[in-house]
Amino acid sequence: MDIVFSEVEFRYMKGTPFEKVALKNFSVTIPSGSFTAVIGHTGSGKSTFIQHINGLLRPSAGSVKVGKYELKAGEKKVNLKGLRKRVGLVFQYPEHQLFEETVEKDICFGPINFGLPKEKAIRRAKELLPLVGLREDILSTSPFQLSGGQMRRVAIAGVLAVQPSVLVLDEPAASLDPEGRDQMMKLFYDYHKTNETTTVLVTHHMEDAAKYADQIIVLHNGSIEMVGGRELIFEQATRLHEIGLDLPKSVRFLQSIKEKFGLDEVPMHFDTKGTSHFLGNLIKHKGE
Amino acid sequence: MSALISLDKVTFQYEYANDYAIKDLSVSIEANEWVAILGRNGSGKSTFGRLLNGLHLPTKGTVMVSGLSTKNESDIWSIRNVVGMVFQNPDHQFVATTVRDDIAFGLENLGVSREIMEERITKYASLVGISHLLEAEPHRLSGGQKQRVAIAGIMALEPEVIVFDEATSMLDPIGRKEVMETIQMLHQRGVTIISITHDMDEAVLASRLLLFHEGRLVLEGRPEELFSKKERLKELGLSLPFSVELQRELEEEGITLRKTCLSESELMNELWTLYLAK
Repeated sequence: MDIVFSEVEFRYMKGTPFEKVALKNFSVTIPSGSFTAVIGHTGSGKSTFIQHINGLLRPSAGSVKVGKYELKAGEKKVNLKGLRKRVGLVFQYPEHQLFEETVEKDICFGPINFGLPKEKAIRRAKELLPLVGLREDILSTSPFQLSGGQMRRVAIAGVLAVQPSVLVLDEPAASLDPEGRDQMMKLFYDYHKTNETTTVLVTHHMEDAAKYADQIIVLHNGSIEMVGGRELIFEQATRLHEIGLDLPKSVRFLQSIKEKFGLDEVPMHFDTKGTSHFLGNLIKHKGE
Repeated sequence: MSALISLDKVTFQYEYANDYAIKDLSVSIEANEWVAILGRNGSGKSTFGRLLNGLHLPTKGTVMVSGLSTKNESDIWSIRNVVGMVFQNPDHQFVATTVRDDIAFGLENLGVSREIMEERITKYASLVGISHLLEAEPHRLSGGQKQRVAIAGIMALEPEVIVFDEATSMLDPIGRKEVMETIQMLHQRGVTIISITHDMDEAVLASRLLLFHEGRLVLEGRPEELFSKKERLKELGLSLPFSVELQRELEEEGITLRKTCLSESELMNELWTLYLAK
């Protein structure tokens, strides 16, 4: 489903002395089936932005379209249930949202709530477990007896069980160890590819944005600062620094190499493999 | 002289847990060390941190801080004055409506006089660079600012040791940098730093690394020693600092450097030397 923000403005606590504009002149399109990363410093509007995608927040002006669903400023009647069935939101620390007595009940809560018969919901839960890296015997245990990492996987299975066509991820790998982080990101990326979901990832990690996204949206003070592919975004190093962001480490390192070695230009590599290959050739073929 | 912190055969088990979170751990930390604690989720890192100021008490063994045992209930507040903690989520650490009152909170609990309180608030707010934020509401600050307020609140109590439990993991790149600079400043002022982290580029700043695996201390050493054991580290679920990872890839390209470079600038210089020598 295409997601289209048109001239969106959002004000917190409208009409009070604490009124604050959190989004302004906000127009952007997230194409159906794309993997989009959203980056920006703390307070740049990332969370406010994504909460509009499933109607947790409604625009104060302008409109948000998600497929056939449209949220317009001032309009009350919207089929939010239909929208929320299609947009799955994985918050930071999703494990804080577990509440059921057993893992099975927790994973099945969403699908049953959206009208799926219990047996089908359980079948779905069982299918999802290997995908999120959990074993079936976990279904009958209490989610609160699990480790933090397992709890997070259960919570994520609960979101995927609704089979959303749009998946919104807010720092889903925060505070995981490096290996867990890679596994978690791979899980979402594989799910994205297999199910052709429209995926929106909010992240502080420039490496993840560069590695997974077809499109990167850069936010600054509640407005869109840049939209584009990774080359286009990370070429604007000076501006990114000004707004509190950094380059992926490989890109940054090659920029320093360029200055130190007095090179006219360096290619942009987003991983250590490409970077080392370039550096290897640079040194081996010096003077050729 | 005995160590500032010493653990002797410490075992810790959470209530209702089948397994031990910490197993037979003996380790000492000297004054003004900077120790980074590494390991997978669930390896016992945070449990270790919490044993240091008596938030957890050992099931077996003893934890001594400045000559006091955490098992002695009457010493627990003295121990907490020695060991301060900064946690991951700054939002969970605020109690007051202004930054000033938040820093004052801990001092009030200590029964410090008004003058000393004012003096310390001014001093530590300025040290961590938040003087201009003293009248602000904590929840309106950026992530890096919030964490620095939390640090100022701990510093005002003038602890000898500060434990940072993944204190930068929720911050954006700039917030992370602000907090890392603050930690470096604290270390230079003589504070003992214990940082629990998944970020290897943070870990290389430490003077010693302790690597936990399934509740046990399995590797220990200076960053350059530990990060040269690349394969072993991968087995234990850790990544390498960027410059070490790049160096490993370079070796596959046939470029071998004279030493393990822990920082990007060090790696850059090595490459430059090699390039000039060609």
